[in-house]
Amino acid sequence: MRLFLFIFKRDILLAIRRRRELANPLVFFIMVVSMFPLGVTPDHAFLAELSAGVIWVTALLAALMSMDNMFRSDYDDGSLEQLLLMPGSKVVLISAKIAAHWVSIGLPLVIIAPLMSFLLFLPAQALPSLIITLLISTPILSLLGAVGVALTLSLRGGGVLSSLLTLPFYVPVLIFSTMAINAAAVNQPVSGYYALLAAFLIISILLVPFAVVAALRVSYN
Amino acid sequence: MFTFLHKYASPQYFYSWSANWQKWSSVIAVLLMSVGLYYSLLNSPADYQQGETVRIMYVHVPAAWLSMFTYMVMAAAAIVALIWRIKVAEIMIGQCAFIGASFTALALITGMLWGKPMWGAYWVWDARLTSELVLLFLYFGVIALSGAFEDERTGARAAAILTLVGIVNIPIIHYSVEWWNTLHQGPTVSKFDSPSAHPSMLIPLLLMALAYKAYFFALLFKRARAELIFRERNTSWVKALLKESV
Amino acid sequence: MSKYKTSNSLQTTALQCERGARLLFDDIAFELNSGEALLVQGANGSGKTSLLRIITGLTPPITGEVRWNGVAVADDEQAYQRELLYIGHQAAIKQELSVRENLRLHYALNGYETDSMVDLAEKIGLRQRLGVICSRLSAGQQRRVSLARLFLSNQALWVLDEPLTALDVDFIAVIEARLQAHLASGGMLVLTTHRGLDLGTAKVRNLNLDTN
Repeated sequence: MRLFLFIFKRDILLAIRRRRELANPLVFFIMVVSMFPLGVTPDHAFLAELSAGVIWVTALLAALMSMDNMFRSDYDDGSLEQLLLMPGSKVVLISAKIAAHWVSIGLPLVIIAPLMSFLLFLPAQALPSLIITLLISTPILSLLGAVGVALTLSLRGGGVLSSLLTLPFYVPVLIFSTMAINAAAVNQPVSGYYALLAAFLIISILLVPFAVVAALRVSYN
Repeated sequence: MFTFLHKYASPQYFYSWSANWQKWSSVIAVLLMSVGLYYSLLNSPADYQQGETVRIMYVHVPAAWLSMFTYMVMAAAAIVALIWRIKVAEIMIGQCAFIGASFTALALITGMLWGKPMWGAYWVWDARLTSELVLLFLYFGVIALSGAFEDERTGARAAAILTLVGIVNIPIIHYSVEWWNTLHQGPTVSKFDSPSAHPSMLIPLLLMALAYKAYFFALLFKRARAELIFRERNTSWVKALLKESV
Repeated sequence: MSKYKTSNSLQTTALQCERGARLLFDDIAFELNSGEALLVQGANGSGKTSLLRIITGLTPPITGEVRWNGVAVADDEQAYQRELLYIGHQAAIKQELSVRENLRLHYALNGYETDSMVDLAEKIGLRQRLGVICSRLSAGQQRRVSLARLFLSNQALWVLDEPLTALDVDFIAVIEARLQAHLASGGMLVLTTHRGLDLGTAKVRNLNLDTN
């Protein structure tokens, strides 16, 4: 536990020191969402129907864009080596890093999502659903993304490849989240979707860090 | 017990015992394929609704089944490669990825060809096709990852991890796509499921499935052996082999 | 100064390493005991860093194994890592953090504190710079921060990859003194270096990768 908190706090501190970079995915999110009315149509009804999916996919892309910095800087300056050689659970250590990454990248996306919902006329009753699904799903994104980043860490063209590798795994999360939001928009029950997403989150938290540690070892081969 | 397995898995030993398997798989594949095609194309009834175009099913459905089967084989190879670091298993991962991607592409293309006469559209977002598409992406991922490493053994290990993450996710993906599809169901119901099991249609289908499976093994062994020879080209046994065959 | 178990030993058998299709070295075997140092030499690209990485367990060798006190490292990683201090080629400090903040990780890595932060900074000659963000330090000063672990460590085996890079003559002497003290109290040392290093009266073995 102490190890977790120490690494978590350290990574948050690093994120704070790099806060200018953290704004990038948020700006990306806002800009791309704005592209849709510009590129398709500003029609209220049409956008309202698209809004859940568009916001969700764009949040996904924004998160993917900044996935790389989870391990990149530590890999480049040799800190990751040192962390992997620390006695103690590597899985806990990696979980701490992923958690810190989510707090610094995923959570801000969740916070500005309501703003996006105004731009695309998401029905008001769907807004809580948007926030809840993003809140449950963005940690899943961080976890799955970590696998992709860890596998491609030692490769030169790593960033894009890692996104390609993890995107197919996001399909279930995307589907269940957008189905939940669209159900909420027409006042249908959503708790089933939340339960599924929460289950996916719990399984990911328990299993994915092991895969990430294995993948990091491969990168040091 | 595992030392015994290690012996069978050593490159040299594998190369010799796989020669027979490959030969026999090819023979069986050709036989089954001929019989299967005869029954599918000539000796089975046309569908009362779709007419002759239902015959695409005999090519499409086994391809889809094999695309999943190949992933299972790839996952098994991945486990072996990660735990015991057996070179042959590492080669199998890469070869299964390529073969699996080909079967998936075949399933998708034949699916599209089947879709045109049925609904007038080459592509529909039905559950099966969408699942196959995501599977194709997964295969591409494995292929891309294993090829991106300078050291092929490291690439195989990375691909193995990706494969295993994938195998856990595939049921979840499949289930979520099914659910998504039922929600967005258009007026047309998917005809991609095998029709109800009338023997005159079922038997050709099973024959084709077995033929595809035999073909899979023939192809896998042939390609794996070729890659093995290439990777081990600097060892003494390969050099001796090449000398003999000249 | 903490005492180490006097009966530590590091053994390797038939280590082999490849980079791409190229065999870097084959059949490296040595045994190192308490109080001894292993000096690894070789031309650039001969695999010195790779060998050190294999010794630390970061990279698995193609064949052969590394044993610590008779137990293969792969079998009991935690026990080995508790006794291991590795300082690699890269400084392994975060540029965005201050000297003090980076040193805090070293305390966490080493698991205990004897010196206060100020005393430690004094030893590495950066006492006035505890609050400075590391990106503003020179390369030599950054290396001093990463070498601070040598003054905190209670680990028996030190594996150092070119520890003297970018250091000035005065500080090199400080490091040499520290290494000698480590060896004198029963510690072990594996290192690579391009420049001569004075290790006093300790027993030094040489391993030259060019001849392998």
